Amino acid sequence: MGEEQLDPELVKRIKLVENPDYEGDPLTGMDYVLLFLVGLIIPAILMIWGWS
Amino acid sequence: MSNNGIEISSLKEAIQGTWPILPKERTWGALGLTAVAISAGVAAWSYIIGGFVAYYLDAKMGTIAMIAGSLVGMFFVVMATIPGSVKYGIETITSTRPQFGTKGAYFSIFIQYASIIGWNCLLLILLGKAAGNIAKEAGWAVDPSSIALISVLGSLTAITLSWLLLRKGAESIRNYSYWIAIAVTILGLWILYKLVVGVGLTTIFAAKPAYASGDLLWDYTAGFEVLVASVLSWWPYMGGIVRMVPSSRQAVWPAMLCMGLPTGVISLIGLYSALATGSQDPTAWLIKFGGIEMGIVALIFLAVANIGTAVVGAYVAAIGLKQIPVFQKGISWNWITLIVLAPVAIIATFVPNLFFDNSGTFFAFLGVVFAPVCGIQIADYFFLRKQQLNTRGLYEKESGSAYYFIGGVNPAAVIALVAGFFTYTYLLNPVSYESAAIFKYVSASIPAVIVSMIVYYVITKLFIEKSSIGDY
Repeated sequence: MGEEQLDPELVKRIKLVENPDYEGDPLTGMDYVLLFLVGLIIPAILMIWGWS
Repeated sequence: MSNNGIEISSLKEAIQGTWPILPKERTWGALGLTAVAISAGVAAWSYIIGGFVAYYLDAKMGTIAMIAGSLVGMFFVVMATIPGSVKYGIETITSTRPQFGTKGAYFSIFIQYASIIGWNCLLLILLGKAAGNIAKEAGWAVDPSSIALISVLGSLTAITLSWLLLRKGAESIRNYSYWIAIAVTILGLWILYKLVVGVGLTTIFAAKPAYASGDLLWDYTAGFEVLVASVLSWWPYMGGIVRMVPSSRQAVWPAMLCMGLPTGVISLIGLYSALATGSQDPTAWLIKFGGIEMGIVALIFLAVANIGTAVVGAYVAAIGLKQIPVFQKGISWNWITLIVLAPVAIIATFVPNLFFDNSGTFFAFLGVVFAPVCGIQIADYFFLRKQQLNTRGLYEKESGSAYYFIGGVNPAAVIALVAGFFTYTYLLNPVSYESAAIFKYVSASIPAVIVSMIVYYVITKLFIEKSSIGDY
């Protein structure tokens, strides 16, 4: 790991962001299921319906 | 804002704008992001996309292919950008350093720059053509050379206005996006109303596409592919927007339904209008339905929408260029904005028809570059790094830093990009639109995403991880 000098304000932010409490909340398993449904499954159904 | 003020604020935005956003700074909720997503997603280029799809598909199949394509395209953008950007509060360009390397990430800036130049060419050439069309219909210009000259002057005037507006700085430019969305929506609804009243839904849905290939499945897949590829070009914008909300859940649905879907929905107006009139130009549609006065009003709305969208895009591209060290010192903000707009002016002056008439090549180009990038990011973030990034490594650029790889570039990403590129071009030639036999069953962007994912994963597992580079 390099010891590159970063801006002190940036270093402060990095330290905070490395704390899991400061991270944005991730998607849950159900979110991913819904995302797959809306982003892949429904479009596939639409395309098949449009063709038939 | 003074020149000095612009220089400082643009440099500050280019550098500090890439820093992680903290929870207290994540001031947008799902509603706030929805408003921003709609104002970004509702843009005048959708008319051009819909007009292009009208070459191949009728209203029913075009509607379905465009809605489906916009959702699939945004799905890949969401998967590639939102989890990492929201978790660490980082924008898209910074989020590519773990995959492309500290110097390789400049490639992201380049494709952002190139795609924005392309979109701005389409927007401002369309505006110039609309001015030429009005001049022709009003009898102000008769011969084709005069009409062409007015078109070019219209585009150049719009480019000059865009450049002057860019001198005002960030705050005023951000505010434009709301007005652009309002102008595009009003113009779109107005066109739709006049279309339905003037032509009738039955006629629109009975209209045949002008350049159908004769293979309906190929046309159907091509229409779908155009939307997937076009929506993939939201990739550079996404991280910077979604990191302003505190959770990925609050970001996913505004992105899917208010940024991806509107591209498809607004494009439908272009599809229906082009099917009914045979033209991609909204002023031509309104002249046909409401006379020259309505065409002039449409031209004013189109000017607000297209110049506004072009300014926002040029601003994003200019801030991107400012992240490259060579552009941070000695090159003024005015010069950088000129670097962004000059290629548009050259194309709009010398080859406007060549570019505009081959907009399909540009749409395919978006798929060629953005599909592999999305595939690489998804493979890296979910399957290789298990959703954990080295935050300090995102900002260290010297040899030996976490994401320096080899000479600042990750060879796995380069090879995966090339594999994705060849997959796409094998399936669909972006220039000639000649395709492999299998294209009509699988499209081009989706296989390009999958192939680049697999290639990136395998090379990283076999070589990069074992070399102890890239912080795996």
